[in-house]
Amino acid sequence: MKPTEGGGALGLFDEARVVGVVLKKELVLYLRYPVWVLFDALMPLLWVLSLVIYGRALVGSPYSENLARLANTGDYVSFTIVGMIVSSFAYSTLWGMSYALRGEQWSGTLESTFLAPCSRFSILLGKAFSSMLTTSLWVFLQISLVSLVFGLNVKFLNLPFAMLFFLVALPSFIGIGFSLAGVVLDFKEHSAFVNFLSSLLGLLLPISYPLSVLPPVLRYFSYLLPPTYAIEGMRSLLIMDSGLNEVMGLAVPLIFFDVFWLSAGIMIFAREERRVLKKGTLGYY
Amino acid sequence: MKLDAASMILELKAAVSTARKEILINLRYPLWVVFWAIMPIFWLAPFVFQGHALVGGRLSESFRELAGSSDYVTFTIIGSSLYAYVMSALWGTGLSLRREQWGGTLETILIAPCSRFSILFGKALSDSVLTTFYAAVQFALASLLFGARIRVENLFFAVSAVLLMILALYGIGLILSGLILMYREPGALLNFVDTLIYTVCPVNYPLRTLMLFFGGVGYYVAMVSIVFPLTPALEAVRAFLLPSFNPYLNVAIALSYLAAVTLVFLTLGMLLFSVVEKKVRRRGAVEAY
Amino acid sequence: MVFHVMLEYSVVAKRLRKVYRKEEGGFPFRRKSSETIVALDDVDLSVKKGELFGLLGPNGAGKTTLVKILSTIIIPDAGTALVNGHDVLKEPGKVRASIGVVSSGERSLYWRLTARENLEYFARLYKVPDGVARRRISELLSLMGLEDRADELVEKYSGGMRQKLAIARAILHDPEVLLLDEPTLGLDPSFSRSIRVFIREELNRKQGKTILLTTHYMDEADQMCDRVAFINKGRIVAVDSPEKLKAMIGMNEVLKIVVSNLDEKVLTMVRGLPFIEDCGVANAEQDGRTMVRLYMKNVDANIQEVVGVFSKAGCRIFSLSIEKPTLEDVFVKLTGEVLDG
Repeated sequence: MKPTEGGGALGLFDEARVVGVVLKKELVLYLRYPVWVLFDALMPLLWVLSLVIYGRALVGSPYSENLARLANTGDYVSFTIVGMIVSSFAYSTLWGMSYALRGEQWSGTLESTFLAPCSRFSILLGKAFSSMLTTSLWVFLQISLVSLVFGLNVKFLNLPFAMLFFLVALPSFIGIGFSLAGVVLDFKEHSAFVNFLSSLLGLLLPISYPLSVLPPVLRYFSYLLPPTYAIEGMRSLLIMDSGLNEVMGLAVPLIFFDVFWLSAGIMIFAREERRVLKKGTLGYY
Repeated sequence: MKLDAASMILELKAAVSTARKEILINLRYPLWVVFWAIMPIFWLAPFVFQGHALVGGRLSESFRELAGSSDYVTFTIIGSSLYAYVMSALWGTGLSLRREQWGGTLETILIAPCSRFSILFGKALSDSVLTTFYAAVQFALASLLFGARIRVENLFFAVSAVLLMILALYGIGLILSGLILMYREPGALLNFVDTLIYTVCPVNYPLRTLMLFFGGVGYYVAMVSIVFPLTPALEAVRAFLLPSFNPYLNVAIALSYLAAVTLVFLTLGMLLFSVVEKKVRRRGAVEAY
Repeated sequence: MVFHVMLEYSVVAKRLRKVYRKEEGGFPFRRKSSETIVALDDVDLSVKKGELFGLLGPNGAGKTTLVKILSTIIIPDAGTALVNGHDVLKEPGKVRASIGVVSSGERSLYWRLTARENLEYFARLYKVPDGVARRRISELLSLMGLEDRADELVEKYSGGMRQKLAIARAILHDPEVLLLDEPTLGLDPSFSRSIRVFIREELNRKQGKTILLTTHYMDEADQMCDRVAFINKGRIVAVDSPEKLKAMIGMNEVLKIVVSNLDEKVLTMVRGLPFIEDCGVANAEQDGRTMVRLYMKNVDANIQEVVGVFSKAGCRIFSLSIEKPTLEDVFVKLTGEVLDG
């Protein structure tokens, strides 16, 4: 048997199969850590609960006049839940890859994985898709539960459009994910880094409030983040029933981000990998 | 552990020197200290902004009905400052032995002839000192950014209530560090407890909101909430500091309940920790992970 | 146009150099320290096609760095290497496709996957077509004697079984070159033996694979390898067949003596004896005993005098034996250092 030197379509097909098998492996491993499965099933629910209960304490009823004035909808429960859902998808793509790489470094399998003659990006993509898939599963279950309990006002008919919109945002998330994965390769303080970035995102993304309440300086930073557009766009589609024009206005910057972040991500990861290979610390935790 | 005065003093010295070591290590990385002092503002700010989005100002009529005070900003600033202690008990004391286990220094520490509690207590002591610093910085920063109005004259009482809470949290930290030595998935356990406390305790919303939100079930949720020392401590501290605050629990009741809870958690923590430590030693897993 | 050249050498390293610079402090206070470690110091090395080549040296000699450079997961500071005719710097993908790597740690597999799942996963990563992979996996599992436990989590395996699985993983894609970094480290003796036999008989002789193996066990290198390179402090000290290397000692007997209370004074006295050519001293054992190997002419005639020097100096002699020279003796002679292990 000759070593495969895939080129052209066949090479791409082989790489796609690598993505598939990484995805499968990650899912199998995930199911073998039942504690984390349980954790994923419960946690997001608790997080969104604390935001929604707080809203109730503030307003006293499920409807906020002020939010209606600011954001076209006074239903802050649906507003917040959709914000949470989209942001958790964003997080799962952003962190999914770097967490998984970190895990492989920790368990010692990163070197043997990187010894394989396939593209590192196929491996990273497999990891991203697996964390998206598990997130989708839990989010779906949680939305169903929340809709039953609180009567979520979601325009389910718009769901296909919302998903399409998410697909527009996805490449930029993946690009950022590549960059983070690259940084993590040679970064001992991973958890503090992730902690910092996700806290920052928690503040800048319009999850439980519209951007208009942010001080202008912070708002500019929000507009630099692709998840901001994803949240606003999907929220428009799912609860506000906005027109196509408005949503298109959000899709244009996203396409720009897609191009920018995908290329930046690939460059950053390749550069960081090379740096780590030079330092000889690829498998080091 | 002998209980005569001389050996108690020696144990205390061991605890204090552990604490000193931990604080010194922390001060060696000043940028981290700054980092952890600023981070909580990032967690607090979204709640202030959410308030502005939903009620359009810094006063909420609904908050006044639920808690006597309509100033939700000061309310959440107090909540998140005290919550810092919970985080430190969970991720500091709870994980401290585990960290030594990772670093390979656990065995050396357990070989030392002083009581394990002194070591853990020392760690908790240093955590408390640092957390108090962080909480104070957070409070000052938050007041600067968002504006807080408190009754400064009652600060002494509030601090006393916090001290009591720290002891109780030390008990919880002990329980968790025992569990973590035993079961090796600390991340999930700590995250769960952390989020549970954050959701059911009145960190950001008054305790009465639970009844408003969950209806009849709310009373049970409130009962779960009161199990954690943070809840009575928050009630007492807000009663002292927040003008016109109307606590769900009467202050005297909250404080004596907090004292009782402290005793229970400390005893439980010590018992569980001793049992687990013996079990782990028998299993020979002090160093393995 | 591609020239198909019959390659005489499967692995060629040319003036490989690698210097590690220590890092101090944690983020954000990380800085490069001026302290450097020279892991490889202009290393040249060639492994012939079909050869079982041993790289023998103490811990920290640079063996692992060399293997990692050859397997493309460390980039050298200078020099390069060809593996199967592919440059590790210019065509890392082709190098990866044509090598199989086994490292000493047993953590290169997923412990929460079964043996079969591990192999299936890596087969895809190595782009082995599904049909071929299925056949190959069941072949390898039975070759390794793992078929009964193929569907158990690797977590439950013993260290030896994990190492066998790691070897199976390395040869899954039928590579021409195998790089084995301390393949028997930490395994119990009977398992080590069976793995050595497997590497020599099955992989090298029967399947004809070119194998570069690192070890710090001299017996391992002596028994298995066609040729051995000594590496010490990042430099290759000698390369030859074990027999020729041993012939370098120049004598066919060595006196091995285990004593206590050894100090420099005694050693100087022993070295001063006219018939002593050289001596090698192992690190002291915990109980204060030290093994000394004396390279001397005419062991039978001079043994009495040697014993006398040790006893007079107050050393207690625990054992005394006359042995054939080993690769260790050659290493000691060449470097003045002892292989640890």
